[in-house]
Amino acid sequence: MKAPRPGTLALWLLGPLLVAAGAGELGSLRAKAERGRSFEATSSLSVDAQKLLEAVPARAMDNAVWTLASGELALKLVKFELDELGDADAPRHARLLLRFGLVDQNFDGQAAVFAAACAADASLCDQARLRDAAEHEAQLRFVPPGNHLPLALIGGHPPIGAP
Amino acid sequence: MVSESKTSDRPRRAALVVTYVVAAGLGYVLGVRGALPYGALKSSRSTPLARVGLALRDGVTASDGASLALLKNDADGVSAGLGSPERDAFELVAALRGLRSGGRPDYVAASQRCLALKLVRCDPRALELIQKRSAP
Repeated sequence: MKAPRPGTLALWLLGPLLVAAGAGELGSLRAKAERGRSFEATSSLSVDAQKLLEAVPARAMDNAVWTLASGELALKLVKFELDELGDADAPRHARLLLRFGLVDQNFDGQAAVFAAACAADASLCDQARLRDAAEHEAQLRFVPPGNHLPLALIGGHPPIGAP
Repeated sequence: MVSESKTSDRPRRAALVVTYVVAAGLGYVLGVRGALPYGALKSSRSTPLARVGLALRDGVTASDGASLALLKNDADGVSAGLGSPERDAFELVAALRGLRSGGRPDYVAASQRCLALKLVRCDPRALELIQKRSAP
């Protein structure tokens, strides 16, 4: 049996493979174009930018529910967003911890969560800034628990023995 | 003699043409479906979650049917991957931001999801407020 000549191999095997590869690239390009602007815009993001964009739905869900949900549901959505966010956005992470602390009714739990918020975003280690940020989150919520500042952040104990 | 050789070559040429046409067709279909190990689709980092995120961040701006259909599919995919109550929360946001209705809020669907989530209020003014707050 004779071995096939190189010319025959190229004509019957390599040629069709090259044509298939070229047509595949064309098909891929057409499919990409048909998927529209959003596909194009999210095709070549950096890993960090993609993580942030993928956390947007969880953020929208959490923000929507935070306004009028029960404490239990609000906490579930805060936890969900924390999981989705990972370590992609430290300031947002800290804000979520503040929300967690606002809904948590346990003083020790609140202190721990506010300390974690300070660790996530150093600007919140300042007590006044922490209070302002917590107040902002509390104002976004219309129902208890979590719609007012906890005692630990209000501060200013009346002087003992004062006239 | 020459014409005999031409006649015997005809089936061979036809087979060659068919092989090339089939190869091109197969390659194209595989390329469109993203089934090739290379190409514009494979190198893309785009995910349904990122595209839904983009639509929620920038608003639903697409006006062509193909983009809106893709966004609807993406929203369906994201929703299917969620448990309860996260799915209801996502559907509430999707309805209020018009992910499946070309950017127009679907207050009927939103009201149903709001009731399912047992939010304190689900009247039209509350839904408008939630819509504003759901901006990321």
